Parts: sequence; C-alpha cells; structure tokens
Amino acid sequence: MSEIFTLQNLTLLIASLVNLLMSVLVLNRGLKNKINLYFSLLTFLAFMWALTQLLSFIFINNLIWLSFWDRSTYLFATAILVCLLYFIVHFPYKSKNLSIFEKILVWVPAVSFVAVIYTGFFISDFSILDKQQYRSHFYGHALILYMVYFIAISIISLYRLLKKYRIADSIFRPQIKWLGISFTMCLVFGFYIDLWLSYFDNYYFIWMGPLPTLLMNIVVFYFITSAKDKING
Amino acid sequence: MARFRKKILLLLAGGTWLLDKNQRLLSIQEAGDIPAWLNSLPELSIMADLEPVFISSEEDVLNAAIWEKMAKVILVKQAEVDGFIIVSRHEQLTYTASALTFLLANFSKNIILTSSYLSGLEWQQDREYLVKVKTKHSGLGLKANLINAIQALDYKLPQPAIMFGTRLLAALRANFEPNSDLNLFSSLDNNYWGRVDFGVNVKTNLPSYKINLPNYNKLQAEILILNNVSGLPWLFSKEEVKRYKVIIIKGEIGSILEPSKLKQIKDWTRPIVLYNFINYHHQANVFFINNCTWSTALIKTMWLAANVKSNLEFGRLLNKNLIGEYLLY
Repeated sequence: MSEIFTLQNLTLLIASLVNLLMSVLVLNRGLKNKINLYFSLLTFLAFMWALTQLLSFIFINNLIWLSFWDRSTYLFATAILVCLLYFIVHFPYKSKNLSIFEKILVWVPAVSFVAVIYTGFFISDFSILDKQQYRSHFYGHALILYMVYFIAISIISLYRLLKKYRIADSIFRPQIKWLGISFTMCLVFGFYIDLWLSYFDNYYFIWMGPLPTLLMNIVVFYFITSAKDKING
Repeated sequence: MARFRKKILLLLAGGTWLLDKNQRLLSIQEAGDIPAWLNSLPELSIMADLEPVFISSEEDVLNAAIWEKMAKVILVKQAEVDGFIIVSRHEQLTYTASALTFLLANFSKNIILTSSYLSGLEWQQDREYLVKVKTKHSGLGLKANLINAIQALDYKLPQPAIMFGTRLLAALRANFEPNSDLNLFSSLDNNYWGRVDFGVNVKTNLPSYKINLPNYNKLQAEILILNNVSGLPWLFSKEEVKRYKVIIIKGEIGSILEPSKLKQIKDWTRPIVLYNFINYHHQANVFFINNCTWSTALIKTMWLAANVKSNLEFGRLLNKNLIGEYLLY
C-alpha cells in the first residue's frame, strides 16, 4: 500500500463520501418519484467511481489490486454516463423515451466495454510512475473508442436537457439551468482530466476527475433545502 | 408488453392561458379550442393519457351550477380514470376546490386543481401585466403546474388539493394570495402536503376523514354575502333579505357586530352564519364559525343550506369538523 493520507487520496475520499451522503439523502425521499431513483443511483455510482480511484492509489504497489480497482473506475464511469442519460429523461418531468437508435448507441458500446474491461482487450498493462501515480496502457484504440462513446452520450444527454430548458417555464427553468451547468462541468472536466490528458500520457491529475460532482451535489442539496414550506400535511 | 399509463380526466374551466412555442397566447373558450391547446403541451401526453372535458370558458365566472356539474362529471367518470385534474380561474380556485371537497366527500380518487398565472379576460385591460408575468415566470406557469399536478397524482391524497408554483396544499386550507410572486396560494396553517423542490415531494400518510352523511350533492346559490365594515350601516330591508335562503356575514378577525346590526338580524329568519366574529350573541338561527378559510366557510354554508332543512341540524353540522375544514388548536 502507498501512503494513505495524501492530498489526492483525501480529495477522492471527500468526493466519494459526499456522493454517498447525497445518494442516501435522495433515496430517503422515496423512490416513487423516478427523479429520486435515478439521482440516487447516479450519486451512488459517482461514489463508487471516486472510491475505486482512491483504492487504485492506495493499492498502487499491488499490481493485481491496482488492475482491479483501476478497471473498475471505467466500469462505474460507464454506468454513470448511462444513468445520467436516464436521469435527464426523467428530470424534471418524463420526456420522450430513448429511441431504438439511442438505446443501441447507449447500450451496445456500454455492454461491450463492460465485457472487456477486466480483460487485456481494454487495459493491457500498468506502469508505476512514482509513489502516487501510475499509467494504464490501453489496448490498441480502446481509449479513443471510449472517448468517442463518452462524447456521444454526453452530447445526447446535454442536448435533451437543452431541449427541455428551451420549452420550460416557471420553476423548471432555473432548475434545469443550474443542473445543466453542473452536469456540463462534470462531463467536460471529467473528460479532460481522466481521458484527454491520459491520451497524452499525463496521469498526474486523474484524481481530480470526481471533484466537479461536488458542484452537482451542492446544486441538488440547495434545491432540496432552500424550499421553506413545511410538508407536514 | 404495454406499460401502465395513468388515465387522467382533465376538466377545463378557465385559467387555461399559456404560451405556445411561437409565444402565441392560447386559451380555451370553447371545446373546439382543446386540440390546439393540448398540442402545445406535448409533454403531458408523454406522461399520461389525458381525456379533456370542457366545462367553461375564460369569460365564465364559476358558480354553484358549474361546481355541481364538475362534481357530477367526476362521479360519472370515476371508474374510467385514475385521477382528475381541474384547470380553473385562479381567483376562484379556492372556492372551486372547496366546493368539490364538500360535494365529493369520501371520494377515493385524487383530484388536483391548478391554474395559469393569467386568468379570465380582465387582465387584457393591462397588457403590461402579461409582459410582467412572462418575464417573471419565463412563461405563464401552466405547463409546469400541470406537469407537477400529473406527478402529484402518483401519491395518495385524502382530499382535493391545489398544485401551484412549488406548493401542493389541501383545498380546504388554501388562501389566495394575488400579490405573491411564485406561489399564489398559501396554507392557512403554513403546512403543506407537498412541495416541488427536486421533483415533487409529497408527504405520506396524510390524515383523511370519512363522513357519515347522505350524499349531499347540491350547493345553495341563493346566498347573501355581506362583507361587514364596522361603522358602516346595512341599508337594505328585511324584505330584500327574504329573497335569499341563507346569509353569511364576513367580519374582521375577532370583531363583533354593532348593536344596530344585531337588532337588524333579529328579524331575519334565514340561517345566518357569522365568519370571524366573536361568539357572544345567542339567536337560534345565528351561527359562528372561525378557524377556517373564507372560501371554506362560504362553501360549507352553501353546501349545508342546500341539503339540510332544519336550523338545528344546520348549526350542528356547521360547527362540526366534518372533513378537517377547521383548524384545531
């Protein structure tokens, strides 16, 4: 195991715990409302994504565990993308279901990635760079394919949200706006830090990827707690 | 496998103003306007199967006959649908909601009432008002209210409720606040059944009331409503009062009627309901009610006056907390 109490590990720990707390908080509001269901799942997956990144750094000197935890970050990142899209379908109200084409675009690559994530056909090897950093060697163009998938799902999700924003009125507009901004920041930052820089062999900042999820959680926490009306019946 | 979709009866009785995607104003003045109006709200048909029913236009002021008609339509259709949404003029929404609560006491399905920020035709005298509303609410609010109402129908509500802005509140506790920004309705006791924060959040296990009464399905339209102002005399005769079947007098909270007015009402034989007054006067046909909204007081008076014959029974039922209409301290 590496040193545990480093800045990157503490950052990942905080990000994971905040997401876990939000997941529980939103789950507690009841699952009758699909918004609660999908957001609770989304934040739980973000918790797992940050946690597996943290564990990959903690077990950096053990190749077997490093391999397992690092590959798992991609598993949960893929799940986050899919869950985010389904959340946006239901937030703040249910819009059109995904078309057959969209479902194929979402699920076929996702299942394919999940099938190969723990094999050499996704990440073939790892190199330890120093006490705190390591490098994942991707098989062939696996990273590029993953980046293309990430961009495609992000565009579909944000486009749907933008469509809803354009026709929204009253209370829905500011909610969609602020969540849209926070989701965009999460996706852009996550893509740049964890995928784009990795493509150019810069792995020194991947621990910062989960940071923007704090903004997303702050926005939702504000929505939930800023309402002053008591609901006591 | 077909997914289960809610079937909702949508009653349209004014308060239907909205802006379509080209920013044109639409409302329902007759049944023929409904298809174009619904087409501008495609989101609703994704969420549920809606069956629209035209009740009245923006021009019509709702009255006892229209409320009775609404109740009748709801009773006839109750087996075919999962819930009911009523769009009605917002300045009359509390009366419409209270009327349906009493006419449909013990009704098991959800009824939610809502409206647009624009209502009726009077606002057309002041076009700047439209610009103000549009700017403040990025539209006229009806789409968001309807969407939230459809989502709120998923929860078990014991009585009709009003969904407006960020609030879901009991019909019998609702006060109309026309000068408010976002929420035009507030609850008498500041408690709400639900709110829109991150999605619709509705309290579970809301208290319900079952009343053991015959089916009281009428409202007395021949009611004299007096808004009492201390010091200003009532200049009408006993004969003019005789035209009405029941009288309700609204006062300021904790007020008392002047001796001259007490002398006047002594000669009136109809049931007289004093709302907000201190109970100090004893006359067989005079009854005092407090701790409820004005719309609840008025509608309950109309409901009992239409269905109960004796003053004794009228008074007994008026003072009884039948369906949670009174605040208990």
